Amino acid sequence: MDITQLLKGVLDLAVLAVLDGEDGYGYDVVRRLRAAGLDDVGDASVYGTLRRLYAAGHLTSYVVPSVEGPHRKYYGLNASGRAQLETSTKTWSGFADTMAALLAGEEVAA
Amino acid sequence: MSAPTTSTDPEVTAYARQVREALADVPPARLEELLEDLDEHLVEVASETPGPLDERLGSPAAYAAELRRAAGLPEAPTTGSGQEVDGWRWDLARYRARWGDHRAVVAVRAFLPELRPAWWVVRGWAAVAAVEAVFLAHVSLPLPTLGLGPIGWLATGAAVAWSVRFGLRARAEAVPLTHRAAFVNLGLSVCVLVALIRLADDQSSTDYYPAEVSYDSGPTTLVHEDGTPITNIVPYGPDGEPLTGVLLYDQDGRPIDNLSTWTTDGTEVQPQRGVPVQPGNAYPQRQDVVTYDGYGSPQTSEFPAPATSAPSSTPTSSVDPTEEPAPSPGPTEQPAPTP
Repeated sequence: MDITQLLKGVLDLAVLAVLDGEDGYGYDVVRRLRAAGLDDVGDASVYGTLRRLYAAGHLTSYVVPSVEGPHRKYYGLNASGRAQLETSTKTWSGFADTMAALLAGEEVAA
Repeated sequence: MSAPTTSTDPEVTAYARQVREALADVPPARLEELLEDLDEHLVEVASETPGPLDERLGSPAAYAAELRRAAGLPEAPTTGSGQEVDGWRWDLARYRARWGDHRAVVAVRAFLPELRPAWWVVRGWAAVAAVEAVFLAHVSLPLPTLGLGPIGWLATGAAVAWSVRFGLRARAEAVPLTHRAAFVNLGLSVCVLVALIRLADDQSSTDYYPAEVSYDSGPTTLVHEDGTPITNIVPYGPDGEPLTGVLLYDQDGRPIDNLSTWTTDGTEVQPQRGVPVQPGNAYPQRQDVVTYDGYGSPQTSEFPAPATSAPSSTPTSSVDPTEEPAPSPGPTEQPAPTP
């Protein structure tokens, strides 16, 4: 099964979850997702998702000047983002449970 | 492009440019938003991985497509057939695809941001200069004064300082180019244009002015229609007899005394001074004609030629009859008028 296909559906949730702990800039989010085990996450997907979540009003952003490199745009959750994270988490948990039960049932049947 | 590129790594610059090109159909405001983090991202990746960016991130086109999908933008229009996506945008994209990677183009693009401070100075100056050009129809160099002298200088200095400060701050904060900023800069470019046109105009009028001055406000002397100067007037009566001491006036009673003092061949013609005094508008004027011989020495002769016989006509009251020359048509240096 292709993980990238699965990721597409849950990347919003993954990004929101990563930012819930601590604000981060784009590449920082990519790193944290990889560190969490989502090795196949595409850089551009994460950046695109950040932009979309920001445009949807779920994120705040601020620029932190950096001495040695380009300035970093940090993102963090606002109230809307946290609410979104909460509902998405519920949806995901329900879905995952359903899938787990389904797969468990199939295994038994097989 | 418009987003602040703080990276000087040519690979990053090239990759970023190609990503932008792949997203050329996205409305500019949306695009800036979307690509705000692009440079940061590419620099991070480049500093972290030794290999080329393509290896780590895929092709710029793939990156753009992924970004587009994740950000929820519509798919790129199929660029396979040029007829569908027509117009100048398409032409521009095609030219950029063909020439964008040329070394000279890349070098110029890399160099242009260095010129920004110069633009900050120019736009500050232009803002004031354009005001001066429009309202005073003139641009003073190097600093526009607005017709206020030192106060105008201060205004110009303040405008330049503010512009540079604004530019520095925008650069420091890496503020992406907004529509508003783009329009303001465009407006200031128009100001530059206005000021330059006015300057060029001023320049060309100063070039031509001296000549105009000598024709317009210099003493105008009598000339024939073909430009031949008129150095004297020799009146004749209805009986064919030459007249002397004829006083000429114009319709307003102003004396006509603006004879040319030079002939076409450079001979100087001066009214004779001395006794008796002749009015400036008494004709024919008694004149000294100064010619130069082959050695450059002046040769003075009189005009009209001094009469050898008795005066043939009655002089006017102010002129002594005995001194009055009698113009006799015929001598070499005298024109032979045909009344």
